[in-house]
Amino acid sequence: MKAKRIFQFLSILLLTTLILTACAPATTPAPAQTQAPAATEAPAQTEAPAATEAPAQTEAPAVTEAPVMACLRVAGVENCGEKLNLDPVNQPCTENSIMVQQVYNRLLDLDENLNPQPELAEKWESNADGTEWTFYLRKGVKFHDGKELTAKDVVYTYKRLIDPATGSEAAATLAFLNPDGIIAQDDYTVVFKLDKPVVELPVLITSKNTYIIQDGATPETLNYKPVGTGPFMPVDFEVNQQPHKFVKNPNYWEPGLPKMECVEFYAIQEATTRNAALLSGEVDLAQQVDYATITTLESSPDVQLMVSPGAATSMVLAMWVDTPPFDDVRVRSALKKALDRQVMLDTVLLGYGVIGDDNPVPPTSPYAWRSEVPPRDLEGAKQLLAEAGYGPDNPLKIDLYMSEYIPGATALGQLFKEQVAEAGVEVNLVIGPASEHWDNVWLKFPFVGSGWNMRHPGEGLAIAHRSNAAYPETHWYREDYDKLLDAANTEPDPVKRAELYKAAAKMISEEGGSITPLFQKIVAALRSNCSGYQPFIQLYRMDLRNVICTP
Amino acid sequence: MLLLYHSGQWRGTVNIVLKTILSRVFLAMITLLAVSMFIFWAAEVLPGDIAARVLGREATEEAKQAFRERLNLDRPVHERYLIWLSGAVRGDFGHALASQRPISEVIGPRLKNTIFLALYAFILYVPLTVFLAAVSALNRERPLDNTISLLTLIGLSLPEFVIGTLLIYIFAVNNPIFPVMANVQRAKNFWDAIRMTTLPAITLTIVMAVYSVRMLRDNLIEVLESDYVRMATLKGLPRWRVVFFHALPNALVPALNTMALNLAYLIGGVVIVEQVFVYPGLGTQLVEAVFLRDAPVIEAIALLVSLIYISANLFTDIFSILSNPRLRSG
Repeated sequence: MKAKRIFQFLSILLLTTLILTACAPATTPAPAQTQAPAATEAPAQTEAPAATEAPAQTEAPAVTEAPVMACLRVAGVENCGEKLNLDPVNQPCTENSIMVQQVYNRLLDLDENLNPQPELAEKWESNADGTEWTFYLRKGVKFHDGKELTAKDVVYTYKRLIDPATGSEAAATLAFLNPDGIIAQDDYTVVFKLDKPVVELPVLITSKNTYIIQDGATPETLNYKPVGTGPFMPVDFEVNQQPHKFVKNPNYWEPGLPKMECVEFYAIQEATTRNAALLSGEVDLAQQVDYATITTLESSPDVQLMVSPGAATSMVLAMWVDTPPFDDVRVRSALKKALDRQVMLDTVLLGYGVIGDDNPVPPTSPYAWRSEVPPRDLEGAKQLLAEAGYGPDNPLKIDLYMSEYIPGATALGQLFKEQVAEAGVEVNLVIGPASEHWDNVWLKFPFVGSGWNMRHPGEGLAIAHRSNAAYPETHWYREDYDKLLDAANTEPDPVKRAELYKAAAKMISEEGGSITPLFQKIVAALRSNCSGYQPFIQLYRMDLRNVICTP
Repeated sequence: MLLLYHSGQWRGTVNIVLKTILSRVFLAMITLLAVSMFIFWAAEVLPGDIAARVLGREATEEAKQAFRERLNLDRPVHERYLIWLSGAVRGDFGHALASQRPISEVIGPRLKNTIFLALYAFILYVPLTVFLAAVSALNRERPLDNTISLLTLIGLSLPEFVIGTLLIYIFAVNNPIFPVMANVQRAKNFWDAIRMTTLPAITLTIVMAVYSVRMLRDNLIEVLESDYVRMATLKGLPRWRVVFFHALPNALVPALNTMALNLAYLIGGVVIVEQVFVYPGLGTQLVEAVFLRDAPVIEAIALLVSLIYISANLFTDIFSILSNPRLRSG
């Protein structure tokens, strides 16, 4: 009987709760950004009739009756989920980046040595000391909606990037720009007036976020219905859709490009599935292939492997130079000497990479302070350790925090542990989940795995090593180092500037806390009936303009 | 049920049955409420910063703070729970934090896809299990039984992504019968969708069947040795009638629980198979939402899965009550 009463009481309680909550006032917070209703669509976009059943919603006035051709199908490595959008200001995933760059263009492009090349800007010049830069825009470039590109669009783009209210990830690298100093001198001329000389401005204003948007564009349109000047235009872009389809921009300013009529982006995170899709012909181009599965593709006649021309992503083991035992430069040098980098290259990257010289500049770069990295010196390492007070009866014990934050990272950690063990160092390898690495491990422990996308030395040497760096991963605070970088920033003579970069790189190599044994090369895979693709040295950049697939 | 008709206390029995069923339903609803509280609490206290996850590692602190304030993430937990619950009972689960889209738009298509795959796999799984278990039980200890045992053991030991990848390489790459990617959103019609989802459905069927077959076989063997089955055989009924109409229904009832569990697993837990086949389902979305710390999405999906699981259990309970008079209580 008692159970019955309790039960009745509980059911009344349940009913009351439900009634109360159902009648509570609707205080669900309204989202700050309202989705643009379907009625206000971006003005007419010419849509080539698709091979599949994509519904024809926008009737463009002048529809080019293009013949039905197969689309280029690209398999990306990362699925961004709900974070996917086409606004250039923030690109948390590579999936965003590979699509954003199809829709827009930048003022300048970077070649494989990260030297600036003309894109929307035909030419540029600076005044004598580098405090004023002038960019001359190409004339007659049209956005996808027909409006012409003018200087006002460029000014709006950069002002938006550095505006703290936008919260762009590029704001830090562009911090040297003064919003009042970005001026549209006339319709086709943009001037950047700076407070201090910045000789590397062309490189610094060219990043993955600096794609030119229309004057006045806001996230309401930029997120899912963007308008750019780029080679491809999105078709019914939706977040949860797979694949994402883009069609050729018929009015693209580069004649004859792009070569494909349309592109479809798939996101296949699982490496074996990506390979299978490539082998079965369901995708034509895989953004990157896993080193572990490269051999299956190498042996297939249907697939060709394309390798980036130079070093791309660095693989770094970052030590805090102000924390024992890493505060002793002899310990740091010993750990660097004890590594057999060639073995690491062959085992971890299967040869698809470049040996690193313990600094952000790869030895293959014209800015490297030496082009040959000395081979393993086990005896030298042991001797340095002995000088620092470690030996067989007092072995050096360190913890290394790794995870598979980039492909090959855990293998690198394990190989490191085995190699330095031969010098008498005991490494406790702590492997965590990759998703937690950047939030909870990196910058929080004295010896962690890290990695960096390839950057120009002006940026690459500063981003983690300047005293006021946003990411001081080695706790390297050296005034003499900062002075070298400052001098390089203001040195107009490129030869002298290169010497300054080399001096900075040398300092990090010899005394710094960045053990950089390897640089990865990006390996992409393309089906044999396609051509015209070269992976860039930055993973998120996929230049699809020249790719062509014949049936 | 036959007993009901013959007994004079028809009304009384119905009363008892109804009471039992209603009490089970109430219990289920209370469970659901308690589960919703737990899910909400768990999603809200997850460590990790959604602002950093959505805006990226390189975003400024001001931007992140502005993001947090826009989404009311600074109100106390119980306030946010009541706001959420009041919307949830009306079907409004709010908006995804990452993209500001309404939850119904975010999980709607995924839910449809997941249900499609779940039903496909379930429709393959039940008959396969029954058939294999019956064959095993009837040929106990003989070569057929041993072979099936061996196969299920192998199936048990292989992880799902290995099974899935093997199927891809055999049936999609080397012999292109099925596609590698189960891109069901692009299916042209029903049969195209079936073709695309066959490999993932088979993978799931194998994964679920290997457990159920062993269990059902053991149950069936036990039931086949009971007195009333012997009675039926002695009466002269054909073997297959004995098995399918007398033994199987009784052996199946304990297995129903496992099948209900499997149905719930199909709705919420098949993220690995979804990743291997790039299938746009609910499991992947839940995992992505957890990485992102996108609480509204996590809560909505978790609640949905709990609802399905509780309902499935409720139905098996009710079915058991109706078919077994001994389970009825006052």
